[in-house]
Amino acid sequence: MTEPLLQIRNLHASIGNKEILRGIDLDIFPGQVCAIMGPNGSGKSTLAAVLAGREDYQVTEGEIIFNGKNLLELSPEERAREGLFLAFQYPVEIPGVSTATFLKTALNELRKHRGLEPLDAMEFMSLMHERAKLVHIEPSFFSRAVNEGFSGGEKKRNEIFQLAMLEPTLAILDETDSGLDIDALRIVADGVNALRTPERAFVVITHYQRLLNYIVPDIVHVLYRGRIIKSGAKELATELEAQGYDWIKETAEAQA
Amino acid sequence: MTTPVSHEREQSPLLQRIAEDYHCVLQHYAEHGDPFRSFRARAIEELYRLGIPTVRHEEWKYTNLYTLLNKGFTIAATDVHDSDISAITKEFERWGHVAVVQNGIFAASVSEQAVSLKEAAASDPILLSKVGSLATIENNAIVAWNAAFSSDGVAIKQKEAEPVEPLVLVSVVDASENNCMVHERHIVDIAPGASATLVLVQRSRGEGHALLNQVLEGWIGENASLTVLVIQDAASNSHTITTHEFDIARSGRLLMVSVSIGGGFVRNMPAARLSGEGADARLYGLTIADGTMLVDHHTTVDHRVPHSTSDELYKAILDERSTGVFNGKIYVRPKAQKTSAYQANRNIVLSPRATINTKPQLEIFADDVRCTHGCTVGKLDGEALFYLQARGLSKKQAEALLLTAFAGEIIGKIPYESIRSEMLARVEHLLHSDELA
Ligand SMILES: Nc1ncnc2c1ncn2[C@@H]1O[C@H](COP(=O)(O)OP(=O)(O)OP(=O)(O)O)[C@@H](O)[C@H]1O
Ligand SMILES: [Mg+2]
Repeated sequence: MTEPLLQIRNLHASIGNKEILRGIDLDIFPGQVCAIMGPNGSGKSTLAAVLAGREDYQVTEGEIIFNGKNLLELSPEERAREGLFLAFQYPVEIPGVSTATFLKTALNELRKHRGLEPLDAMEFMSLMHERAKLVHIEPSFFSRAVNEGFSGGEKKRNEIFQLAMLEPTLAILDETDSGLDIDALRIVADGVNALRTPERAFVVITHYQRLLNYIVPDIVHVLYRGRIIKSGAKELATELEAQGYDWIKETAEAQA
Repeated sequence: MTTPVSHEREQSPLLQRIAEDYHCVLQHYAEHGDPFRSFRARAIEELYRLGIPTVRHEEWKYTNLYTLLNKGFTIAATDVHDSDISAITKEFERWGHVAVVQNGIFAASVSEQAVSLKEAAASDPILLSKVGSLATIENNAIVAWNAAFSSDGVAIKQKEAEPVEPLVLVSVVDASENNCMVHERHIVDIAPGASATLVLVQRSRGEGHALLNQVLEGWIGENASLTVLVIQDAASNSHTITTHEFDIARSGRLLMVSVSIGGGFVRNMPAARLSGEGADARLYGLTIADGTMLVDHHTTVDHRVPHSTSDELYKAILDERSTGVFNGKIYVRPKAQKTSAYQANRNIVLSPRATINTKPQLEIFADDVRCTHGCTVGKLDGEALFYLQARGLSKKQAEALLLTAFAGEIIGKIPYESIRSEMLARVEHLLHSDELA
């Protein structure tokens, strides 16, 4: 049996004195696509942010092992260099910093960490052109400031473009489907599928089963009030789409 | 030795010193022919009346001139010993035609558009009458001080409609023997329809403190345009006080970009008077300061007629114990309907010991105007920092990238590619973003 890429054990996290994650256990294996669903405010983005190393949240209990390393001891940049990638639910606009400059710096940092030579300007450019095709990003975006003035859908595609450039081993997509039109959803899903490898795992946070028709999950978890209250095969997503969350909420509350 | 006259007796030690200096230079100037003699006499009286402003003076509240002046400055020896200016000329010729003023005296010019102000004024009464007519001595001790002591500078006349190469005006202050103060005066006259670019830089010689008090008066004719780049990048023993005042006629345009990344004490007082319809003034400034550096921008934009426009953006990055000051006056006179004036001051404070004082000062007497202003003081955007870190950039790299982007907005206003990319490289170096992979 392969080792999990990511192991989360009894994770508790809070902001101020409000506990948001209340004991999460989760294993993610190489090559796996794991969907996380759950009602608004249940803690999905918080889990993603804690994994990425956001300092606003305090981890009060539990541990996270990523690639055999204690993730909680690593800075956000060290996590990225170790191969963790978060596609943000709300990508940040960075005026004055071009996508090309930003990605070149990021990619070469990652390469340095992996013991690879930095790419020169030519190699980098051709890689950008190649990967941009994957999510139908126009080369004119390279010189534009990161996310500045991008439409909602462009921002989401830009996240997947960055994923394609940085080649992480674990990619967390936080509602990458929200705000996408039907064609863009297809483009993003095709992009993600093209990026699937036996080593690379995906955590797909979504509210809609539609995305999961394209990116087929190996396992679906339902997060509610900071806990995983149900896990199942891909059919669970269809069931949730049809029936909503009330039925599992009730079971969970009955058990609590 | 001349004894100071009676009414100077109760003056401060500083004014006494100035009075002594004045009597010395007056004699010297008289021997060499002095076209500014009567103007000088009025100016020194005004200076005695006003005194050198202290922090009790509203305009100098956050900028203590005395901490600078207490170092003790000798008025420049009007004769320059070391007149080797070829190195200076060489340093700046990549930017354009170089003119050099040493210790306030016109030394050399590669351009026939730039000549000695003193020589030109001696034979040109119209030019002479312009001196002091824009930057007036009344109630302005710094300008009065300059008018009392300055004897020369550069007169620039631009008649060509064709854009010509920038004129780089280098002010050299020789502080190799003492702490040295120089008063320098320039006149710029851009004929209707003509356009010109002026780059102002300062260099000092020697280990002493060098203080330049520079007054520049410029007239921008109808449909004419002037670009002024003020590159303040000298060593920390160089100090500068500038008064740059412009009158802009109908459809005339002024673009001024100041880059203050060096020097110890820097006080800039740019002023644009929009006196013709359709006149446009753009004033931009970037400060990057550390150590105990002080950079103060006191700007004035005066809308006097209908349909004129102005845009101001001043940005500062302040580290260590540095100080930034911004005061932006906008006047919209009663007749100046349909004025559009925009002003913004953005500051990033990197150290708890750095300070910024910022104050917009709008006096609007017309009702049909579009006038916006805003100032921000803060740290770098935490969301943006996290986003960059989450992609693998170290905190330092992320900060450098964001700071460079912040500064780059002002550098981007420089309309010459070669100067712009050179300044951007220097800013990247200062902010360590040139070390990025
Ligand atoms: N910075 C914060 N300050 C205060 N409360 C926060 C903060 N971040 C998250 N929360 C709270 O934590 C809870 C979980 O939020 P989170 O964003 O993780 O939910 P989510 O499952 O991603 O929801 P959605 O489906 O709407 O994106 C919410 O009640 C939210 O208000
Ligand atoms: Mg969320």
